[in-house]
Amino acid sequence: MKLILISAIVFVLQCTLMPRIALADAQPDILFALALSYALCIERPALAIASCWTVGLLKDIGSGGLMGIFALIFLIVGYAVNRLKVNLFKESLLVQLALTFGMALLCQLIYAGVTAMTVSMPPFAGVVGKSFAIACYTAPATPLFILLLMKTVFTERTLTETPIVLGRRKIG
Amino acid sequence: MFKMERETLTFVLLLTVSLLLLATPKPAAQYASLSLLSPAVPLKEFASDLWFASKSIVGVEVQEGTPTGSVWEELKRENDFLRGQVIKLTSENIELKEQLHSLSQFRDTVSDRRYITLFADVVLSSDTSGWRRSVVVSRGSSDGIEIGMPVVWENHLVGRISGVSNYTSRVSLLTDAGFKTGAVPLQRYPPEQSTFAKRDIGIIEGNSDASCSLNWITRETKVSEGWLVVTAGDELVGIPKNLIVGRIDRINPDKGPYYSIAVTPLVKFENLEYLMILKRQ
Repeated sequence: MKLILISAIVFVLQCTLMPRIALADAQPDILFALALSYALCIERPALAIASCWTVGLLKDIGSGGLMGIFALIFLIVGYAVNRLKVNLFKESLLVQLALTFGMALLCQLIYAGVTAMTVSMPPFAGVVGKSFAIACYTAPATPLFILLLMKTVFTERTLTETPIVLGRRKIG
Repeated sequence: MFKMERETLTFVLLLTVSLLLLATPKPAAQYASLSLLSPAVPLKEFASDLWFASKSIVGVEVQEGTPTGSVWEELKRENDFLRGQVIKLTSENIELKEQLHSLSQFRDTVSDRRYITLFADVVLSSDTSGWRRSVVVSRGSSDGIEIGMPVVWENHLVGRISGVSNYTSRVSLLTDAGFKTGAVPLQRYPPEQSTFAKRDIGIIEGNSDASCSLNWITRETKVSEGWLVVTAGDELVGIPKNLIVGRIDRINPDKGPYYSIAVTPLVKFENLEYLMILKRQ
C-alpha cells in the first residue's frame, strides 16, 4: 500500500513540479529513479520487478507516446538491476549515482530511438546532449528515494526482525 | 531455485503484457490511459473549490434575543463568507473575460462560422516522457471531441487532439515530434505591394523541445529573423488559415536549396489554464 502511495505521489510530482525545474529542456526523471530504488531496495525479486513495471506503466499513462514502452524499458532495467545487485555494494552513494546515471542514459537513448522510429528523428547531437542532461539530473534522486524507502517502507520489517535475532542470541 | 523460477516467470509475464500493450492500436491505448487520468478532472475542481471554501466561513443563524457580542460575531462571519464569495465570483469573472477575449481574438482571425469553439480546462500541463509534448484537457468524446481536431488559444495554434476518452483528451502540441502542418512566414509589417501570392508555404514540424522547425522553404523566398509564422490552412484536418504558430528565431541556410528555420511559439504552453478545441460543422 505504501509503495502504491509513494508511486502515485511521485507521478504527480513528475507531472507538476519537474517541468518547472527543467534546465535547458531536461527535467529529472524521478519515476525512473523511483523504479531503480525499488529494484535496489525490495528484497523479493518478483515484487521488485513488478514494482518497476508498474512505475513504467504510470509513466506511459502520463505520456503521449507509445503505450507500454516505458513499462517494457523499466521492466528490463528492473530485472537487470535485480540480477546485478548481489554483486554491487548498493549502500554506497557512488554506486547508486553511477548506476542511476548509466541506466537513465541508456533508457533515454532507447526511448529517443523509439521516438525517432515512430514519429521523426530529432538531431542526433541534441538527443545525446539531452539524454546526458536528463541522466545527470536524475542521478541524485535515487539516493534520496532509497533513503526515503528505508526510513518509511522498510523500517517495520527491520524492527520486527531485530528481536528474533536477539532472541536467538539469548537462547544460544 | 524456486525463487529464480518465480522471478523469471514474473518477468516473462510482464514482458508479454508490455508487448501486448505496444501492439495495441494507438487510439485504444490512449483511450485506456486517458480514462485512467479522468479522475484528475473532478480532483482539480475539488481542490479549486476547497481553496475558495477556505476563504469563506459559513454563517450561523441569528437567534432571537442573541446578545450584541454574538450578533457582532455573526456579522463578522457573514462578512468573511461574503468576501470569499466575492473572490470566487471575481475569479470566475476574470476567467470568463479571458475566454471572451480569447474567442474574439480567434474570431478576428478566423471568420469562418463553420468552426465551433469549445473551451477545455487543462488537467495535466506536461508529458511525463520528457521527449513528447502533450497536455491533457477536460473534454472528451462525450463532448463530441474527435482525434485530429485542432486546438487553439486566442489566435495561436496550440496543437491537435491525439487521443480521446469519454471525459478527457490528449493534445499533441505543435512542438511535439509528431506534429506537422503547412505554414507560411509572414513579415510583421508587410509593405503595401506585398501580395498573398508571394508567400511560400513550408511545413512546420515539432522538435520535441520548446521550438519547432519550418522546413521546405526555398532559398529564393525572402525571410528574416523576427518574422511571424502563420498556418497555411489545412482543409483535410480542419486547421484554419492565419493562426499564429510562432516567431522566426534563427535561419540556417545549410539544407541544400532549402532553409532550415527555427521557430519559437509565442505561447508558453505549460502556463495555459484553458484551450479552445475547434469543431467544424
